[in-house]
Amino acid sequence: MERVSRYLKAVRSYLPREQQDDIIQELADNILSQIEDQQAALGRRLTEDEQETLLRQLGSPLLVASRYRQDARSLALGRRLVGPVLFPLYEKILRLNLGGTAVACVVIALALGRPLLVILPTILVHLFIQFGIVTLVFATAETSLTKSSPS
Amino acid sequence: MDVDVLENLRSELRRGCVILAVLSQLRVEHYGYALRKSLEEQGLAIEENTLYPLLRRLESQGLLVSEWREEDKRQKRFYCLSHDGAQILGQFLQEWQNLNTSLNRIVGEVNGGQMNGLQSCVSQTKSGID
Repeated sequence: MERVSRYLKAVRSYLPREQQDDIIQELADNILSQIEDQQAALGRRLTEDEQETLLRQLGSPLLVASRYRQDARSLALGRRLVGPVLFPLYEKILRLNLGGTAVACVVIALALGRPLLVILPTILVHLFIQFGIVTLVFATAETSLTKSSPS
Repeated sequence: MDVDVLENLRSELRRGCVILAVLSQLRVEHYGYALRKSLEEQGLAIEENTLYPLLRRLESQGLLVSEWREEDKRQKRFYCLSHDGAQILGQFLQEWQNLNTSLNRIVGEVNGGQMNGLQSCVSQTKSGID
């Protein structure tokens, strides 16, 4: 059951916080019911590999979580750049990246003894570059994702 | 022929039918996996990723009610048609029957088991021009 709980934990991390407990408890029961059902049919316990196959059939945690989100957020500039499946991960990475960049710039400025107001334009440029790179990576991933699975 | 085109058409056609089946089946309460299994046994297989979120959506629309209860030593969420849901299901079924009657008239000749010999009207038009 180690795999199942790891899987559920991954799904959980992409769900809106206020719904996490509820959705995961229900999904856990549905997955366990399915496993028990197959075990009863086979008359033995499922192997780790068989559990893995079952989870793979359910789909990636990112995909599973996206189906529960009713907001279906995405990023578009003319055409859609980041769709609702990848968006939660995009948001997470962006937050980490921009937060990290801002903190690093401030720390360096303080270490060098420069006033924050002076380096503000530099910080903004760095944030903009980071935003651009992360968005580019996700837009590329999105393109290949939509190509391989149109639905 | 593009497989994606057929796949898209198929999922559009199925969307409403799946809701009809789920609401009808939930005249008797079920939890997620049991519902999926019973629909599958009757010939309608629905992916987990479609069914489980759909149940929550139908509940938030007031068509279903749910209750956590212990069964087989685990908490399970049982869904059941609400009063509003029952009323709407009646109208929805009526709608489906009307559509079905019309469609059967429209595609009537296809229905006679000749689904493989379907012809496009392109060749007819062409020969008309020639």
